[in-house]
Amino acid sequence: MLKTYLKEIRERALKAKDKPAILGPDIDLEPYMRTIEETPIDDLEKLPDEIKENILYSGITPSENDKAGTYFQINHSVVYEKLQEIYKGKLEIMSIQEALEKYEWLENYYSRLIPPDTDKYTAWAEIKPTGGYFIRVFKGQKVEHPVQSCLYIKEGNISQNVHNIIIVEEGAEVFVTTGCLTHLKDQPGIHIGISEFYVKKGGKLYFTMIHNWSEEFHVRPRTAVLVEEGGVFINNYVTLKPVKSIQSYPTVYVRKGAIARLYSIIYGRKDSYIDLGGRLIFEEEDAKGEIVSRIIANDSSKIYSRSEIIGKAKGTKGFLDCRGILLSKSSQIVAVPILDAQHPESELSHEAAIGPINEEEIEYLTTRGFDKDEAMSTITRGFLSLEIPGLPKVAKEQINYAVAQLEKAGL
Amino acid sequence: MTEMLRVENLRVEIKEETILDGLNFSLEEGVHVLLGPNGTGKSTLLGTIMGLHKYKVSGKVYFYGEDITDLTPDQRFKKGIFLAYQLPPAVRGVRLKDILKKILNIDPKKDLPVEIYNYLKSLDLDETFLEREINYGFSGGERKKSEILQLLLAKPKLALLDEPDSGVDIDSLKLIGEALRKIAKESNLLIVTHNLKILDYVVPDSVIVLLDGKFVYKDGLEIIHQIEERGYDYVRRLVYAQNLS
Ligand SMILES: Nc1ncnc2c1ncn2[C@@H]1O[C@H](COP(=O)(O)OP(=O)(O)OP(=O)(O)O)[C@@H](O)[C@H]1O
Ligand SMILES: [Mg+2]
Repeated sequence: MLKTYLKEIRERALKAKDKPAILGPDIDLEPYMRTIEETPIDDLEKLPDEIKENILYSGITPSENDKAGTYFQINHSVVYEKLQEIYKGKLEIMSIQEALEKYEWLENYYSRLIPPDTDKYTAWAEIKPTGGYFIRVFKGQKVEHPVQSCLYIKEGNISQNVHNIIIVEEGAEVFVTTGCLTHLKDQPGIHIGISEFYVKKGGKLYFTMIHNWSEEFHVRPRTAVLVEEGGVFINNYVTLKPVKSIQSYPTVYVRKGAIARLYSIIYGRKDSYIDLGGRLIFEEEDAKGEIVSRIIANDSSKIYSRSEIIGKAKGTKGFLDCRGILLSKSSQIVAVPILDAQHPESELSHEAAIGPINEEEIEYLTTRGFDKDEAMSTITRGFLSLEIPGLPKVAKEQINYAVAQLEKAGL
Repeated sequence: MTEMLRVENLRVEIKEETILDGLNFSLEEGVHVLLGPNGTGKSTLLGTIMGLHKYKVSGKVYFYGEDITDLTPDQRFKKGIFLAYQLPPAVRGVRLKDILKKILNIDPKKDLPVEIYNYLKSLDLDETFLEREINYGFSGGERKKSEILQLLLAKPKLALLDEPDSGVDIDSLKLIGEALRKIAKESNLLIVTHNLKILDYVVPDSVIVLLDGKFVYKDGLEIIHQIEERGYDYVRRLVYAQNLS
C-alpha cells in the first residue's frame, strides 16, 4: 500500500532530520521551513517580467513553440503545467503530489533510489515537501522537443524542497531541461532537490540542468539514476553564477550494455563553495560511461570536483576527464578522481589537469590581433563550450545558450 | 630605398640566459632570408620583432622609422606585422575560423567572406578545417598551412615566416611556395629557413646570417651557395675576420 509505505518513509525521515551530510558546510534548516502559496497562471507570458527575463539564463523560454511541455514551480507552488496537444498520449507531466494521488504503483519508485534518511536534506524534503515534477514517457515514444521544467524561488528565507521523478519507459526517448534559479540578490534561501530518474530497457534520457542561484543561496541536490539494459542517460550540468554553497554527488547505476555520461561546466565566482561529484556504478556487463568536467575558479571560489567510476562487471569501460583553470590567487580547485575496479575485465582511466591559462596560447592569440583580455575571454569561452564528440545537438545548444546568455550579462 | 626594419643594440634574455646579444642591422623593403644554425636565436629574433612578452628585451626595434619596442603583439599586428610561427600552439575550444574572423576584423557572429574558399583551395585544405580547434591535433604540415592561410588573410606589411617549409611534403611545399610568391607582391618578407628550395618561389633581395646570437652577417644571394658548400663555419670565419679588422 502506497499510503503505509509513505508513512514509513516519513518516519525514517523524521529520525534523520538533524543528520549532517558527509560533504559540504552544514546548514541549520529549520528556520527556513515555512510555506508560502502562489496563485497559478494560465499562460507563461503572464509571468512577471523580472522572472521571464531571468529564466532565459537557465534555458527556459516562456514561448513553448519548440517545447513538448512545461512544468513551472515558484517557491512552493506549481504555477503552471502544460503538455502540448500533439504530445498527449506520448508522455505525462504533473506535480509529484498529483502523481502520488494518482498512481498506487509509485511505491516502487518513490524514495527507492534515494533513502529518505540519507541526510537532513533528504529528510526535510520528505518532512516538508514543497513540490517537484513527475514526468513519464510512455513505452516506445520518442519525444523530439525538450520538456522544460523550472524551479524558481522569488521569496527570501525559505527552503524549496522538491522531489522529482522521471520515468522513461522501455524504448522511449526524451530531453528534459531543468532550470533552477532565483532573481534574489541579498536574501538567503535554500533549494533541496531530490531527483530519482528511471531509464527502462533501451530508453534514453538526455537531461540538462542549469543552475542560476545567488550569493546567499545554499543548494543541495540529491540525485540518483537507474539505467536499465541498453539504456542511455546523458546529463549536462551547468552552474555559472555565484552561490553560497552547492553540494551534490549524483549516482548512476548502469546496467547491462547501458551508457551513462555526465558532463559539467562550472564557473566559480565570488566566494562560492561548490562541491560537485558524479558516480557511475557499472553493475552489469558492458556498461560504459564517462564523466567530463570543465571548471573555472575565479575570485575566492572554492571548487571540489569529485568523480568516481566503479566497475563491477566484465566488459565495463569508463573514463574520467577533469580540466580546471584558476583565474585568481585566492581561488581553489580540488579534483578528486576515483577509479574503483572490482572485476579483472573492467577498464577504467582518467585524465585531470588544473592550471592557469597557458601564456603561450594567450600570446599566440595576441599576435592575431586579440588584445590580452579578449584573448583570455576567448580561451575561457572556448574552454567552457565543451567540444565533446557525440554530445547531442540539443544538449550542446543548451549549454552554449547558457554560456552566451551569461556572457551578455557580463560574465 | 626605404628602410623598413631597424634593430639597434638588441639584447634578449630568456630565464636569465642571454640569447641575443647586441644585434644591429637594418632591412630595406623587399624579401629577406634569415639563415643560421639551430639554436642560434632566429625564432627568438622573429618573436622579439613581433613583441612576444616571454622575452626580456633591451635595445630598440624600429618599423618604418617608428619605435615599436614597447608595443604589445596585438598593437604590432595592427601596425602590419604578422608572425607565422615555427611551432604554433594548440588552443582548445578556439576554432581556426574564430581566428580568421579576428584577423579580418569581422563580427564573430557573421560568416567568413566567400573568398576564404579560394584560399583554402589554394592550400589544398578542406572547409571542415575551419571548424577545427586551432592547431589541436593538426599534423605538422597542417600547422604550416594554417599559418600561411592566416597570413594570406592578414595581408601584413611585414610577414615574419619562421620555417614555413619545414616538415612539409613536396606537394605542400609547392602550394606554400606559390602562396608566398603571392604574398611577396604586397608584403615585405623575412623568412627563416633551412631548406633553400623555398627560394625557388620567392627570390630574396638580401640574406642575413645570424651567428651565435651575436653577429648578423648581411650579404647578397651568393652567400647561400657558400654556406651550402662550406657550412656555417665559413661565415663565422668571415664575420670574425671582419670584426678583428
Ligand atoms: N622558452 C625558452 N626557455 C629556455 N630557453 C629557450 C627558450 N626559448 C628559446 N630558448 C633557447 O634560446 C636559444 C635560441 O632558440 P631559438 O628557438 O631562437 O633558435 P633558432 O635559431 O630558431 O633554432 P632552430 O633553427 O632550431 O629553430 C636556444 O638555445 C634555445 O634553447
Ligand atoms: Mg627556430
